Amino acid sequence: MNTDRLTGFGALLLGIVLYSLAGDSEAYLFPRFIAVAIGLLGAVIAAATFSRVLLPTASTSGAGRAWLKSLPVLAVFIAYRWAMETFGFYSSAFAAFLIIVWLYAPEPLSYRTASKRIAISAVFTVAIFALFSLLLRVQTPRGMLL
Amino acid sequence: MELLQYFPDVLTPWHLAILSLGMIGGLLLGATPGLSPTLAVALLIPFTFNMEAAAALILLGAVYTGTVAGGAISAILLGIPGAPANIATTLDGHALAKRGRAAEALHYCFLSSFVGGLIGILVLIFFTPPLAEVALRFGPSHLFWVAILGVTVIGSLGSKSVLKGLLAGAIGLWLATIGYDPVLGEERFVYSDHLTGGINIIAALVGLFAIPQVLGMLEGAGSTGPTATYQLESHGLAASIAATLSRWQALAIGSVVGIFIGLIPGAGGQVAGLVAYDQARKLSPNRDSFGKGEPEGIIAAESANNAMVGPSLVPLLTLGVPGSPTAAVLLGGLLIHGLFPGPNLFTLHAEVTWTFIGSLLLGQVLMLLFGLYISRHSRLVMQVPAHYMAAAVTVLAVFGAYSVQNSLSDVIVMLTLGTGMYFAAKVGVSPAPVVLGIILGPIAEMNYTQGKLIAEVGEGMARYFLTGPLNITLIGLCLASVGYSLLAELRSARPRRAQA
Repeated sequence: MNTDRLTGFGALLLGIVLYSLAGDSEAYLFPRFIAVAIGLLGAVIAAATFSRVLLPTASTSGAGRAWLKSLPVLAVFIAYRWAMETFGFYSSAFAAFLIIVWLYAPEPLSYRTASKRIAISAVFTVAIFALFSLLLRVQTPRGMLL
Repeated sequence: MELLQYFPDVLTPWHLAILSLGMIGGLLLGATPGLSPTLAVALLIPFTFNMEAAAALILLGAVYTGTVAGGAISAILLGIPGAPANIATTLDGHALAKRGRAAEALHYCFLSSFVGGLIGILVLIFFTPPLAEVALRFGPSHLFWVAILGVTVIGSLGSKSVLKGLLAGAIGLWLATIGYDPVLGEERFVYSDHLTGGINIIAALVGLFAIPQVLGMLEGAGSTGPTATYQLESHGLAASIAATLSRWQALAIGSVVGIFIGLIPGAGGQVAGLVAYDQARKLSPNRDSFGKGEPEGIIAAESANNAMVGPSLVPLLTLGVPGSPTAAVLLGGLLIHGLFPGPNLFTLHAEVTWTFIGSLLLGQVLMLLFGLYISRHSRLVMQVPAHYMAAAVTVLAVFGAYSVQNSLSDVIVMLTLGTGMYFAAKVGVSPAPVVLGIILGPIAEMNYTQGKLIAEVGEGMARYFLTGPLNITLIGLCLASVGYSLLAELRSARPRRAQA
């Protein structure tokens, strides 16, 4: 199934689900309008793929499984969210920065590259601390560390 | 003339220092994803408590102007708008930067910001009393149609398909309904504690633009040698000035749209750039190159964003009604210093008011000078390896989303929406319409409900929403916008069908 057809049927299903989730009260009047619009647009997109009015416009042509390369960083996002509360905003920012750089750096690991990555992560964290905590006085939650 | 009488006050060393510092700080804060003009001004208000009123307003005004212009820096260099107002700049600005022409894109941005900003401030100086009357004429039905006009431009924003653009916009409108109903106060679609306050616009903006950029950068990182991705071309300032002035139509469209939308109280200056971009595209002979790095797109969007700043202060200074969210925060700054908006502001506090307006005028010149200086160093950002840039954007996005309301829920919403957008982009859905839907949803719903209540006790729904010159003009603009987008879509589909 081409991606446009998938998008169309997906949107149609989404419209139906959102409409059924909306309650009967006056407060849901606007969300019900929008759910109907989403369903209708999905139906039109799906129908257009059968009449070939709408040709595939997805940006994945040739990209194939490139998204698999982003899975490690999605895991970092989940861990980062947990670490923020447990260890503190700044220590977790340092760790997230360092891990992302480590995972995706093209250079082979050596004492020199490792030192460089740690130094850059530390400098960036200090800069973030200066901007948000010292200059803008944003109160971040404190964990076990900073 | 009073402006000339009080302008020397702007030129005192202390006021000049405050103005320069505010402008540089504003440009840098604006360039940080998540730090919108509203947030930057709000965060700085406590610093002004112990300042004299004129210096405090000069600082806040400079930061406002600087952050609006600075938001375009990250929009162009990273593809992440610094604020909702810079969404339209991303569409062509980042595309031009990816072709190695980042400095040129920033030149267009700051030159058009300067022209638009200057025109907007001149409008504020010379036409404040009559424009305040125009601003007062906008009732709920007109604001509803303004929001719908914004919705009609959704379809053509960055999406290759009008239908997918509209679908993305509708999803954005639905996301905006999560949380409390604005009139009845009933909870809607709150399936997690993190959603109780609804979807914050800035958190959504950061997530929808920054996270797909991060994931996209990392898709190509690590596999092949150096990760600096763009070939950079140098571009002379004189050539940029000539190119900007030769596109006077885009400058004119941006400035007029910015002034008009800035004046409308509560319409949200965020849509000025988008509406101007859409109109410039429709009227341009180069309309097919919009979205691929067309300078006219950057010029129209940025001149509108900055032209909006002056007029958004008209209803604020004369009536106490802010024309944009940032103007609403600025109102707090005025009140803290004992300045109550209204006609008396220009008589009882003439010295402070005209010094403030004079500083906005001079601020445009400083914004241009500092902005062009930053443009010279843009290549440094474009040459940062992708893995370092992705790590930096991730951390900045988290801090930017958190600092909006000091809420971890915003961080979770930001990461969730961003990850969803990354996969949605794989099927051709663009983030700009989703964000626009989130911005316009509450404006449309609130004004529809208010208008309905007024109409039910008065002239009836049809008469209230569909008659009157202002309603009819806005409805006409909506129909023209939709009609044009559909015709353009069908025209572009014809050769594709023939090829297939």
